[in-house]
Amino acid sequence: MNIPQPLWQEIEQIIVSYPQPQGAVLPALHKIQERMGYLAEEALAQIAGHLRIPQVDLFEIATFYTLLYTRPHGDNIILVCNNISCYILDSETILSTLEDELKIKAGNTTADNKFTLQAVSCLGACDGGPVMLINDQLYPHLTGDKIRRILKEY
Amino acid sequence: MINLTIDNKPVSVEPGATILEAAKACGVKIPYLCHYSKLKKPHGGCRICMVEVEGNPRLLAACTNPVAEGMKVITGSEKVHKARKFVLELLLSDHDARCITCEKDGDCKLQKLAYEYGVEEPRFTGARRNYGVRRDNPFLETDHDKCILCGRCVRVCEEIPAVAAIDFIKRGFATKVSPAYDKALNCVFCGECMYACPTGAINSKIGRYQGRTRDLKAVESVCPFCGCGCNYSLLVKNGRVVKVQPKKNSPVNDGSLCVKGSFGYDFIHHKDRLTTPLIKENGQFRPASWDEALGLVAEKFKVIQAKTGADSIGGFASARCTNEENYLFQKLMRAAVGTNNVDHCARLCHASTVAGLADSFGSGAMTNSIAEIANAKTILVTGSNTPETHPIIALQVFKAVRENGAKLIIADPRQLRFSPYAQVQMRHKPGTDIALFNGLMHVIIKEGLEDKDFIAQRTEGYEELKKVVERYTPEYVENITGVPQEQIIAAARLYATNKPASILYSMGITQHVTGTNGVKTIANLAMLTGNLGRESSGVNPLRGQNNVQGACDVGALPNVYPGYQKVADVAIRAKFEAAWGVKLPANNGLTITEMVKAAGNSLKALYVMGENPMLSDPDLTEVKKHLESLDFLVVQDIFMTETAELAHVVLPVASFAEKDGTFTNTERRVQLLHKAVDSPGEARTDWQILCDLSTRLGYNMSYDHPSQIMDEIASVTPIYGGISFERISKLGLQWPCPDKNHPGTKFLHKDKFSRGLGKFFPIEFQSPPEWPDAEYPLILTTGRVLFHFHTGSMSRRSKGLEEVCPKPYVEINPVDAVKLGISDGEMVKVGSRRGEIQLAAAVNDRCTPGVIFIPFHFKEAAANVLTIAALDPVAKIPEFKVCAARVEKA
Ligand code: SF4
Ligand code: SF4
Ligand code: SF4
Ligand code: FES
Repeated sequence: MNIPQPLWQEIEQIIVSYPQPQGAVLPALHKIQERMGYLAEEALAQIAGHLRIPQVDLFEIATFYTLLYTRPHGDNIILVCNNISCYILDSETILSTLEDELKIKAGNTTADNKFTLQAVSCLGACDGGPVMLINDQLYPHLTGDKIRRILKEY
Repeated sequence: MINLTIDNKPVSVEPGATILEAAKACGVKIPYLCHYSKLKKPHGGCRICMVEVEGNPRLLAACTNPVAEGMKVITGSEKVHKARKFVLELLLSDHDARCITCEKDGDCKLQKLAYEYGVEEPRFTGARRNYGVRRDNPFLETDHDKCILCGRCVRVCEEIPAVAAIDFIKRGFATKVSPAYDKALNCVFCGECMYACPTGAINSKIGRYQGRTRDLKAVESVCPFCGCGCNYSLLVKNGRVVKVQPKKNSPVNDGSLCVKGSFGYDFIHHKDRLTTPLIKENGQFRPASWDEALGLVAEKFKVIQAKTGADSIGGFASARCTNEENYLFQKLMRAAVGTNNVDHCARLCHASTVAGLADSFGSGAMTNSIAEIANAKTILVTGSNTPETHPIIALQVFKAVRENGAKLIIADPRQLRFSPYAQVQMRHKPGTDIALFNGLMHVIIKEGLEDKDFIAQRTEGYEELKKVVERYTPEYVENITGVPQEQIIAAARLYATNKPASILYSMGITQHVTGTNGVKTIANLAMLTGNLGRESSGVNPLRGQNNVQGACDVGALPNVYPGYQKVADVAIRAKFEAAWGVKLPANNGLTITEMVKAAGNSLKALYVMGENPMLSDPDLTEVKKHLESLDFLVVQDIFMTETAELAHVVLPVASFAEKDGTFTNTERRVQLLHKAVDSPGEARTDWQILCDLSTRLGYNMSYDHPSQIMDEIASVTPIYGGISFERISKLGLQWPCPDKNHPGTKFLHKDKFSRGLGKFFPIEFQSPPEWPDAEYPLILTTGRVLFHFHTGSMSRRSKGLEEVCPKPYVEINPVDAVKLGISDGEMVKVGSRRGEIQLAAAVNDRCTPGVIFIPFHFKEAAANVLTIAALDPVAKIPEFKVCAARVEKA
């Protein structure tokens, strides 16, 4: 999927506002993801060519950050923390409950494309563990019942 | 200098040196994994190199920390040992240590350290990455579970070939090294990453399971695939070359190779190798003994010699064979047969360089060394697709531009891999080089940027030049070349002012009917700006074949004896008559292109050593007709080439890996190769065959070893006067090297040109012989690709090279493709006035609209069916780069 012309113009705006091309990478990637849903290969190649940064370097960045997606994903993205504080509060069960409910393994998308489930390291909300994030909404102090209730909201 | 002690050993090093460098300097061993000395910057990622520094409570990484005055470094303490062992335990906790089948067993840095530090059982257990092995490209196999994420491969790929094909993807525990989107590797396949990897994570698919370092015998040799002449070792097991290893610190390739060097060697043991002499009877080859075959050749030659004279016999020497063999070949033709009809494929590539630069400067070779390119301030590349045809020289250009801030000017119709780095890229129409460079000179003179002192003291003919280029205003030149005026002006200013400037050129300049003039024009430009006779500043023709420089040097040319000494010069001829003890013919011989034309007419017999005119020469239909009408054709080669198929006698020979001898690379460096394996069957070395045949022809030739032949070359060839096998056993020598004490010559024309004063030639632009018209509206240009070499007789028999580039194609610009309704990958017919071929279209913007490109390696769609056999009047080089063509849907 190539970057559509109007979006490309916006990205060029972003790029010129940074003194170094490297600086524009993350904002540009965010913008693409915001509009196109994820970072398609062709889109990344276009940015790479324009910024004269090897495509694989952009891919490195894109795969380093959990919140950047290099593959299409479901309409809603569920991120479950598996870092130490949540782990102590049994985030493993939280994740497996979600896997059972959605009938997918972490890292995958449901057949109806409604949810993508992913385990991540730390959502910065340790006081509320175990936590998950659905899109921009944080859900603390999870239990099995709570999860089932929340999922119905989507 | 900074003084410090390491383990109580005093050492002084340059300021800025690291502790690791200081330790190396005083012989203290510090282990390292992520550090790689070929790379500019240390990495500091693995922490195995930690040391204690007195007064510092923390351990420091020796590879990143600089030395300081009075520093006391301790490398062997308990604390250091424990810390290193801890690092190893962590690494091994996630390492698939199947050393039993690992290619690196015995040569692996991780294994060595684990042993030294006694890491029996890793202390940490738990999850392990389980990515498995990827084999989805022709050359490399990547075992991610043996990767320690040191990043050497990632860094070399970005820094040395400037490709950046791979990087770390994902993060934390899941990290692995991979191409973007985790796709199959698709890069230039140079193998640099494999050589850099400290573990068994990256292996050659070509050499896998065929022997590990400790079982292999290393034999030093020189890559046979191009004029760079990279130094490497052939790694041999059970009489087979199973791998190669580039030579570290070689002034030519400094431990790097390109894909052909790294992975193309398997042609040596290909099943198609010729193993016995063959004689054609009733249109069929039958095996024969050497005695019978050579007896027949000698007899035929003698009969033809007696009947129609020695000049009705001709010989093609070979830019693939050694200096010694080419020397003997021309000696055989001249002394035993009695004709100067000896030439080789330099005629088809750089004959115009030899002729043009000889006129301008007095000698026709690269003025500078490969290693000097990195220090040029401006590099002008024209008519050379350097990254594909001379990959190792391209590394120097990348280094100059990316690390040393040099400016790159490209004058080439095609888009090249280093185009993105060019300050100015002029994409002129093929065949308009002379106009373009006259335009640059016009601007330089008009703006007063010429080097007046240099012109006054070192040259002649300036006024005439000035008069001619006066007409070549930027407007005028834009009209002819299609290059915008601003680019012409920018390039002229840059080249004239940002010195030292070096010109690299190749067949885009030479392979024209105006090739000699093109070369002289380049020489004019360099002299005008004084960019000559100094380090990193000069005129550098990049020679194509591995020993094309040497074959010229030792006299495999129809008008000169070894060392470019003229046949026409009576005193020179007398010298050779005395040295060889025989009367020599006085008239210049025929060139390759002339011999082909004369074949079947005045030329009755042809002796071809390791050449393949049936694919390499222009207008192949004509060539075939001529070769078929010869009374007698002898071909000696390692494979049954297209030319050998037409022969009456075919002689099987040893490949480069099967003999001792020397090649001279493009920077005039004479280098030694050694016999690594035996030849298959009854194949013999070319030099032995030549001696045998010459003796049968009544002119005795006998040598025990090629080194004796080199001694003879040195005795009659002033530029090789000081060269002997013994002297070049460690490091090659660059000619001119007139005597045994001479250190060789790094760059030419230092205070004086070989001919005294450099000569300007006023040269007018002339249109190519064939220009697009209504019937044939496109310009066809031909050339090479990275993955193949010459007529493909070797590279197309290499498994990996053939797999990665199996098919002929024609590059065509999307603009033309749309007009013709052709899509990428579609089969098309390409025709010219001389013939037609079918091949796939590669639609991309490497060519400008109106220009198409076809690589000439493929016999199934031979580009030279289309090319025109129009010749440069001086050098007799054919016009391979411009002819009119048309493309249609097949
Ligand atoms: S083979 Fe060369 S280009 Fe390809 S990944 Fe390795 S270093 Fe990079
Ligand atoms: S593949 Fe080899 S060189 Fe590359 S990071 Fe892994 S261990 Fe290091
Ligand atoms: S650059 Fe030339 S000499 Fe070097 S490895 Fe490649 S083909 Fe061989
Ligand atoms: S070698 Fe020093 S940190 Fe890796």
